[in-house]
Order: sequence, then structure tokens, then C-alpha cells
Amino acid sequence: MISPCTPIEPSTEPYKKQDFRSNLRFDRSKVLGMVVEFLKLLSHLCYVRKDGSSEWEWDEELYARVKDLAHILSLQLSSWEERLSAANAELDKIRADRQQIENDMRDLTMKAPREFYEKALFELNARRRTVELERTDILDVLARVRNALREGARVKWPVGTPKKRQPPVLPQPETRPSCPSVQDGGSISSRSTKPLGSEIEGLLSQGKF
Amino acid sequence: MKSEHKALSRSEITERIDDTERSMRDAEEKLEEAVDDEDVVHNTLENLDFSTTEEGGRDTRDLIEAAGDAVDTAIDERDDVLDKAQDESTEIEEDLAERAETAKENERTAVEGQERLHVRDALDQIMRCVEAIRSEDAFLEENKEQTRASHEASVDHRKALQARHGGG
Repeated sequence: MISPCTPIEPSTEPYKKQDFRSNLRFDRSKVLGMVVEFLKLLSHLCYVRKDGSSEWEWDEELYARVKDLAHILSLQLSSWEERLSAANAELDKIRADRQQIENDMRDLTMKAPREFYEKALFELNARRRTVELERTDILDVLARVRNALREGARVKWPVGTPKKRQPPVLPQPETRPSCPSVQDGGSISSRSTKPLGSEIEGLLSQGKF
Repeated sequence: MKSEHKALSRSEITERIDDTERSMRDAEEKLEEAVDDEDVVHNTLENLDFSTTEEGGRDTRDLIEAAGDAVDTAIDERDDVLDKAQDESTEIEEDLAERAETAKENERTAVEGQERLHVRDALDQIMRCVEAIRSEDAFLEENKEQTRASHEASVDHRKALQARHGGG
């Protein structure tokens, strides 16, 4: 979850295919935190009229932030799709190596090298299991990000591109009037126990919006 | 008759030659198996994809290389066994050559003695003795030649295997 103490720092470095597992857990936790915040932000969005007017003056700001975060998530999606591709390639390679070792082991006549081949097969099996688990994690991230982006695609600022105003101090959520949600018509207070202002401040403190 | 060797029957000599040839053949087969295994390990190392950055890739390579080390050790050991078997063959060949030389010497001595004999019975005895010595000599020469041929074939085979091992 995003908070001022745990800044989101989505990687902007080019993804290296050989390092698909590099920082996998850390990156996974980061991106899932972003997904949670994105969905929370979506849940705070209120209905806006076709002319862009709404009951709360900061609604356009929220829409703009949703748009920005959706963009960041879509970049993450590409990165994680590359990770998946690399994990698949590694699994293919492990399968090919395993096949090669099994075939060659059948041709060995001495016991001593056969024992090392058996150890190599054992090691390859262990590696395959590890990569399969990592691949499962990657698939999980992809499913969650895709789902979040699908949710995000359902909301749209009605008049062009929503503008950010970057206020130095955001209004507190209690100053916001109750409004019908764009998602399911619920109210803000019924969907979030955390002050919206502090969440948005947290996001702002990351410099992402 | 003078003899520097322990007297052996023909069957004992044949058995000894057969045993040594069998030892050489077994040692050659074992060495060839090890060299074949070495080719297998080389093939594995050439065909595995070690491009991964993961420790797993390095572990796999280390294990296959350890298999190669085990094969190398076996090749050295088996080559030593073959070397000993070939040494044994050489000793037999030399032993047969000495025995054949002794037989020839005995034949010369017998023929010289035959020239000095005048008694019919004694002459018959020495003639039978010369025939026996000639037969013995032929037997020894034949087996010496067989041993030499086997030894040479084994040496050639060993050289070919060592070339494969060295070339691998």
C-alpha cells in the first residue's frame, strides 16, 4: 500500500531478459501496492457531469492521477510481460537441458559420471520448480495489473484530458461531499476508512503525480 | 641341458598367453568405454545452454564437468591397467624368445653330440631329442609371434584411444 513512508519507485530501467528474477519479490510487492492504490483511487472517483463539473473541486485532480497511475501500470505490464517471456524461455531451456542430459546419461557406461549426471538432473528439476513458482508469481502480477487496468479503462474524464493542479495542501476527505461513485454508486465514506487527503499526499510525495 | 627358466608345459605357456591376451583385451575394452564416456560428456557440455545467469546453470555445468573429471580419472586408471597388461605381454614375449633361443642352443648341442655318437640306439635317442627340441622351438616361435602380434595390436589400439582422449 502506498504511504509517505513507502515510496513507490517503479523501475524505469530497461528490462534485462536474463534477469527476470532480479528483484522479483521486491518489484512484485511494489507493483501490487500500486494496483491496490490504483483500485482505491478508482473507488474514490465520483460521478462527473458531461461538462466536467462535479460536486467536489478536486475530482479532476483525482481523474488525472488515475490516468497517470494507469500509464505507470501499463508500463509495468510490458515489463512483467517480458519477465514472463524470459521465465518461459528459461523453462524451455531447462527442459532442453534436461532432455540432453537424460539422453547422454543413457550412453554413459561408467557409474561415476552417471552419478554426477543424476545430480545434475536433480538440480535441474529443483531449478525448474523454482522458475515455475516465479512464473506463477509473474502470472499473478499480470492478472492483477490487467484487471486493474480494465477497471481503470471504465472511467474517463468527460472533457478532454483531466488537468493536474498540484495543490500544496490537499483538502481533507471530510470536506468532500458524498457523491455517487462512477463504479457502483457507493459513497466515499462507505468504501474507505483512510483519509483520502493523506493517501493523495502520499502519492504526491512520491513525485508520481 | 642348461636352462635359466622354470620349466613350463605347453599348456601352461598357452594358458599364460591366453590370460595375458584376455587381460589386454579387457583393459582395452574398459579404456575404450571410458573414452566413449568422455565423448559423451564433451557432447553434453557442448549442447547444454549455460547462458543463464542463475546459479542453477553454473551448478549444472559444474556437475557435468565433475562427471568429466571422474571420467578422466577412470581413463588414467584404466590406462595404467592396460599398461600393466601390455608389460606382462612383453615379459611373456621376451620369455618365449629366451626359451626359443635356449631351445635352439639345445638343438645345436644335440646335433653336435649326434655327430660324435656311433651307437645306433644312442643315435636314435639323440635324433628323437633333436626332433623334440625342434618341435619345442617351433611351438615357442609360433606363440612368441602370436604374443607379439597381440601386443602390437593392443599397443596400436591404446595409441588410438589415447589420441581420442588427448584430442577430446
